[in-house]
Amino acid sequence: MLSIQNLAVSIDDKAILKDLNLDIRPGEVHAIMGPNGSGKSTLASTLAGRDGYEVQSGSVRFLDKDLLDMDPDERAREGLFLAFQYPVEIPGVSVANFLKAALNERRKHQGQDPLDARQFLIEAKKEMAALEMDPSFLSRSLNEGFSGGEKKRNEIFQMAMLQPKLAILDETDSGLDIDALRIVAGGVNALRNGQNAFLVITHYQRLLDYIVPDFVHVLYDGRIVKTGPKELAQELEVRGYDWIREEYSAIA
Amino acid sequence: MSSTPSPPIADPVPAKSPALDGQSQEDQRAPSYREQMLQQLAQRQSVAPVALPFFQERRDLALAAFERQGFPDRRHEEWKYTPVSRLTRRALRVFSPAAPAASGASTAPAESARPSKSTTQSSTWSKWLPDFDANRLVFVNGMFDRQASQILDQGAFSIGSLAQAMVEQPDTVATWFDALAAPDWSAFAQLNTALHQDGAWIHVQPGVAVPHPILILDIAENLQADEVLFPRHLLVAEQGSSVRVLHHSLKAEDQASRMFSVVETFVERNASVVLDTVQDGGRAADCIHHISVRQDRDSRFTARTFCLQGDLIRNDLRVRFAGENAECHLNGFYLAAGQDVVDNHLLIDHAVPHCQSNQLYKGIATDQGNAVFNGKIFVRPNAQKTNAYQSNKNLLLSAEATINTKPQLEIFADDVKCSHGATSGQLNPESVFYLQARGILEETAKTLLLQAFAAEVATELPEDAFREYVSQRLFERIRQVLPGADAQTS
Repeated sequence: MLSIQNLAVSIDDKAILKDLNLDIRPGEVHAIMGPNGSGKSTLASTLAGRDGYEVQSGSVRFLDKDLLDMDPDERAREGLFLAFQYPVEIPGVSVANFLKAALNERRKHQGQDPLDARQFLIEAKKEMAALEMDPSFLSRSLNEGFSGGEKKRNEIFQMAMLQPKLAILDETDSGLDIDALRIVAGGVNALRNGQNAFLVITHYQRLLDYIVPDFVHVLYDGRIVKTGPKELAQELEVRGYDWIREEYSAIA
Repeated sequence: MSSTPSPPIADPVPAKSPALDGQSQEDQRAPSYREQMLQQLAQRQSVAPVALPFFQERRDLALAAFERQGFPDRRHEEWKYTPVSRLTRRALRVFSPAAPAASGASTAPAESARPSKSTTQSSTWSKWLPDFDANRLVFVNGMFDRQASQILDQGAFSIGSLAQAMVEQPDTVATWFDALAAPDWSAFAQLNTALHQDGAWIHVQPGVAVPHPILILDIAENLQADEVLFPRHLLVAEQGSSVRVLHHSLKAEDQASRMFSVVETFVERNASVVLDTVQDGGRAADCIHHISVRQDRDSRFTARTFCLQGDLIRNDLRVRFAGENAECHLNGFYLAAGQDVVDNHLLIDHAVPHCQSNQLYKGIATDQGNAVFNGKIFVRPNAQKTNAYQSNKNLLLSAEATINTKPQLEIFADDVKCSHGATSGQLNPESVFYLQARGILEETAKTLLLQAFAAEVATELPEDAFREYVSQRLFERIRQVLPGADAQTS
């Protein structure tokens, strides 16, 4: 589904990702962990197509298409979804209008008819109930005045509505209490269907108790320096990252 | 009526007065500038005879004031950013229905001389009539169009033509007419008083609420290059009454138009007035608009102004609190595209204690457009417990667009609450990216964000067909002026 080969990315001429390789197949959940500054969020932003992330070399193929050649909106319509670490507040644009616009762009892209207002509302209310969100969210301005937890839940709500093929969760767990974390993770798990895949970027092993990954990768200095089963996350939680650093500098 | 076009008032001028069109004073035998004005006034009077000497006096006084001050230029602080020369380099002549339409003389009587589409069914501007229940006063080139107008409501109020009211109830009109005139009214407003044509007369008796809104349509149609319109509207809401007025000025054709309009508004004790103004003149439309408002004790006034299109739009909106515990809300949205200049000057005079004023103006400038906001809040020494708030937010969409914003707080009382804020910025790229990351096209994302920015003022309108109309036009304009948009019609 996603194939990243020898990816190198810099921001303002500073190399952040260096020779990164990663393959994700349908149905898989991959977790990316790593210390601050290792390039986790850069990877998410590059995949989503944020401005200012310059790809120096390498390739990214998504569903056998050249992902890096697409505009951000095209990537989304192809089925890529980024749950933002810091969702943007957009006054004046209601959650409902925004989501309806997004959903219908996606449907148009897939050759489907737009959802009418009633269908949209039924779908939206169903997903919101699952995420324990009040339906009044729909008429609020996008993320404006939302608490941290509400913003993250709103991201997962959008994901549930858009049904992406590959969802990238960029530190969706940061700043969430256990209850909110459980709800968010429940939303992700409900979406898993064997056809789609998840790339979960996190700082903490805690999230991975709820969203159980097939692979855990450790990102350090712009490269994936270690890959293991879900137990690797627990080991990192216990031992921290110093041993990774030592191992890595011994090799390098 | 003379069969030759009346001479432009532009030519020779008194030595001290700035030239109207920059031409030099060459022909000594030509009638003096003042004589020409008087000639024009005589022409006006043949259309609307003067019922009271008072009305003639007001014209004369205003003309004298205009002669003293002349048109402002950029040295004048209040007109620093307004390219007045764009308006005054062309000769000025009051529109006359009797003037020949294109070439040749017209000998038909004044009322029907100029073939006007307005009286026909195929009116080009009927599409601008929002389809909703409103009392409607239509003025085509400053002339009252009785056929196109309609009055739904009956009650203790007058809704009709000011010129007609001056004839039928001169004493009542004279109580209010030109009562807000001040020496610092601009040359354009003075000229309006001197040369005004017809306009709306809205007079609501004490304690009466006019059931439906009153829509004033000021339409410029088929003007000749030197013709200028001088609409003059007078709104009086007596004690405890309430009324909502929608003032819509527009242009039916592609020809250039110039409109120097004045609205006088009296909000008497405990009365409530809403004045929604839409300026949508299209290309080559110049509009210098002056609104003066006097608020008495316990009154409420709301103005919402939408400057949607025009080459040069200048609004002077002045509110004077003449009685305590009055409140006003002055909100606006403006869009300056192409080489448009949109200039909003506000002046709130807190002359008495315990009044409250709010201003929210939002604007977008793109291409080489220039938007000006000047919000003056004047708090006089005894106006304690004043509460004044001002906010001006701007978006710049191109490198060559300009915003000039100037909050001007002059506070001479010590127990007041005044605050202001002004911002100018660009669309937040993070917001655009966020929407794109959900599959929304970049252009659509920008449009959504701009519409959201602009909608704040429009969403204050009551939910009716007029709001729908304004929002729709506003969104249409944003789509047109967005850089990279397909339709470059701005």
